[in-house]
Amino acid sequence: MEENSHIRILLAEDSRVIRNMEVETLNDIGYTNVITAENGQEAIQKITEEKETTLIISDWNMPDLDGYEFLMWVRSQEKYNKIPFIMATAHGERRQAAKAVKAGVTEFITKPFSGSELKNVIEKALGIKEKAVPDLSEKARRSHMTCSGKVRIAVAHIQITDHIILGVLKSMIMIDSPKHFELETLCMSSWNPVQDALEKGDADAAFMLAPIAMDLFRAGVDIKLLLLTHKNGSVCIKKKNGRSPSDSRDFFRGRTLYIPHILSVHHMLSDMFLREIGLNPGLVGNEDVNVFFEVVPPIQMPEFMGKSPRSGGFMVAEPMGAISISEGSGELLYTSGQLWENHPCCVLAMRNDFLEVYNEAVQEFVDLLIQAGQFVANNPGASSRIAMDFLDPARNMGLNLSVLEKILKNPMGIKTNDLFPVMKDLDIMQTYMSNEMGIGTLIDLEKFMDTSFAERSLGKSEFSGNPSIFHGPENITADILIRQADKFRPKDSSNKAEKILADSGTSRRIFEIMETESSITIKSSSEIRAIKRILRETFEFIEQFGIEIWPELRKVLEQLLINAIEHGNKSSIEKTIRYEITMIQNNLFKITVEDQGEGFDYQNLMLSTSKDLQNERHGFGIIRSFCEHIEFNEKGNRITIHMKTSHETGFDVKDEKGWKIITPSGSITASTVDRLKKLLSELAESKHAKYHFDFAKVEDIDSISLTVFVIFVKMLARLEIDAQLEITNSNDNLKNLFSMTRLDKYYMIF
Amino acid sequence: MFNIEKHSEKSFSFNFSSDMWIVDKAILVCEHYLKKLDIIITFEFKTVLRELLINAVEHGNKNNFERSVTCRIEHVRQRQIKITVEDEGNGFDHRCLDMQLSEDILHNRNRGYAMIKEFTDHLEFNSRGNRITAYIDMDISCDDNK
Repeated sequence: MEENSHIRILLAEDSRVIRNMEVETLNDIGYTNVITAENGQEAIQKITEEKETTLIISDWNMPDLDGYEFLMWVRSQEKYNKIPFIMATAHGERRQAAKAVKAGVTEFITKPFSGSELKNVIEKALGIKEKAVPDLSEKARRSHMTCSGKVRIAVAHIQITDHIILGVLKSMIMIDSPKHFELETLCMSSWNPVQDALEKGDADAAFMLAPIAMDLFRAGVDIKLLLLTHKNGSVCIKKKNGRSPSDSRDFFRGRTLYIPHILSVHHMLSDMFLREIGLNPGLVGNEDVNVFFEVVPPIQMPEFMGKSPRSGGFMVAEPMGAISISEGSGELLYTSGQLWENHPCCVLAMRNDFLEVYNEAVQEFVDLLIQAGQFVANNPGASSRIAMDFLDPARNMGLNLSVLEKILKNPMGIKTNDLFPVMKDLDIMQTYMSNEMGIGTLIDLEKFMDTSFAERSLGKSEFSGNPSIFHGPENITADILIRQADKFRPKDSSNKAEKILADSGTSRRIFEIMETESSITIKSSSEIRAIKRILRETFEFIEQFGIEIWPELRKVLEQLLINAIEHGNKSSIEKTIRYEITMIQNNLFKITVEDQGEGFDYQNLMLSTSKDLQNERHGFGIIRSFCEHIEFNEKGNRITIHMKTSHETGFDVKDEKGWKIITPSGSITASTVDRLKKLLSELAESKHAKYHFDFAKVEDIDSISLTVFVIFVKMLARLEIDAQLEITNSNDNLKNLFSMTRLDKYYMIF
Repeated sequence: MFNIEKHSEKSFSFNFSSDMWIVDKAILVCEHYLKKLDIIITFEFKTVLRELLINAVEHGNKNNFERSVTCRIEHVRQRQIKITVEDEGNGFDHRCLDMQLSEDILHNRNRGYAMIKEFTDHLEFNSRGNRITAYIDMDISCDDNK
């Protein structure tokens, strides 16, 4: 390695771990004469005190004086204004780069960067190299045709399980080669080179984070989103540290959370979660921020977390979370799917100039990717073996088969068999990031997305894509709290109607159960860990009536009990709560929770807005959303609610003399119609022609559901099925509606 | 998010995040409140309310859960209920709204508005087009215990 000790580099970076890593990188590429500063202020001090500085590399986000202000200062000083200045920024965003250029930056590099990237940029800044990578970009003007006359598709990706379908496709191709294309995969160390390769045409397509693809499109790079590469698949990991506070808010305050990119769903979901627990997340250098995001390459996250004392954890795609859990350095806080079920994350983005010319090859590529996705879902074992070689060929990531298989089998984990891109979901993402986080401006998704390939492949259009389910951060915070408390749960017996008294330090723990035919009553000490036990007793009680536990019940009970223990009794172990659940009708339960606190002004709470509720008793919004009736006693320390069992409509299907008899179990509305949609589209695809809908239990139907019945007609027509459609037993109101909306033209109503 | 506020014996309002799931919930809550005022809600009322809320969630707020829908329900006259629904969208030019359904249902788009129009006595829009007010005659329902 050539040593450039005559080149004196001033490096300004606030994070100690990152600073040390960058110094190491500089040394590795031959720059050994490096002085460092923790922020812009110190950098100014160093530059004036030290002898000649040849080059400045500065981070953008730093406390006291940030990189941009430091740059402005350097350029205003006659003595220093000629020094080449490289800005290292976590902002992948184009407008940030433009601002830096305007202020006189020489080069800029997006964090996190590799040694070779840094070397290139330094050489450009020092004028050693004119063009970035001349030989490579010449090569990029390569021919797309192979000698066998097929189209070569070069696809860039990184080493995460989110990109597994590409690896599986690659091995599928080895057995049975595609008609129209040959696949070349370009494995890269981080998102920057992926983005670069797609922009410059070194890659024709890339597996990349949806917000990065949107940002490229926004900046005028002519690309299209063709397909999702997966749904879900990320985790938030909290650093394991025995002495740290178990409360997430106290733990994360003042700490750093690593994310793979500013433009990522991880940034968005972490922002939501941290706000929910009452913190103000942001980048270093912004006022009022009390928990910091730092961009780190995914594969280095577990290592960084271990090294940095101020690190709180990270949020990223698997397998990094699983690796850190199996190594014992981190623990799972939540999976991304718990917060936003079936959310989009990485997408297949392709250059428009490529897809316009090689339509056939692109179609086949998309078809096979969808097949690969199905394969992963059906064969997690085989897929994990393929993923080992694809993601970690050099075996330096610490991956092992059982960890990978576990990741692929996790029901809340990555999903690869539902890849149709849903515009609404991408819109949720860009809207939140733009409105709440000030990242990016909204783009026209209609122009950015080209779903025609996916549509042809899946043979769907109006029915395509299952929208995500947004659970919201409030639902996972309760879950985390209980999980944390549960870890410290001592072993105890759980016999019913048995009085358990155990010593817990200086005070006695109480857990008493009384059971009658239609109710159970529990008296318990104010401990979060009692909640899980109360839930278990409740579920057993309810299940004996043959009623399935519905998810809203758990959410509401958790909130009621947390409120009583934490807010009412202020977690004082001497105080007890009294809980009672009674079945008052076969689908209606009455639940009462009473604490020994001083009560509170519930009148105010009943009228308050969601914003007021955010900090204190934020669970009340959930309670109010799911309960039929809420009542407080005068003091405000006892709440009584009524809750109905889930009345979500199901759709029963039977075969009778060649007819499909479909019986909905209740009203058909926008919130339940998705299931019907899916059912009908499957039935149509299997070419059934005779459908009989029994509406005996349907009281209401809305326009969205009526549209589904209309689309069904269209779909059958398109599949050239000569269909017979009947609706029976509908009430007069519905009959009137069918004739008003002219549904009776296609369905026999009687 | 779902909040409800009572203004007087004859009026209440609620607001909620744009989520289709909550629409069903909102209708149940209304049913409960109106019952307290001795008004049994009809299929027509339910349909209009549901379609107004669906429109606000889907077309007004574009299903963005960060935006909320506000709905006020007032018992204005003996037999008339006024529903006002406002979203946080950009609005639209209501003069261009075609509430007629064509004969061929396969080409129909605005089934929701046609249903609203069918069951209301009078409809009003604000100029921006993000607030709609519907007046519904309830005379059938007051006596009829549906």
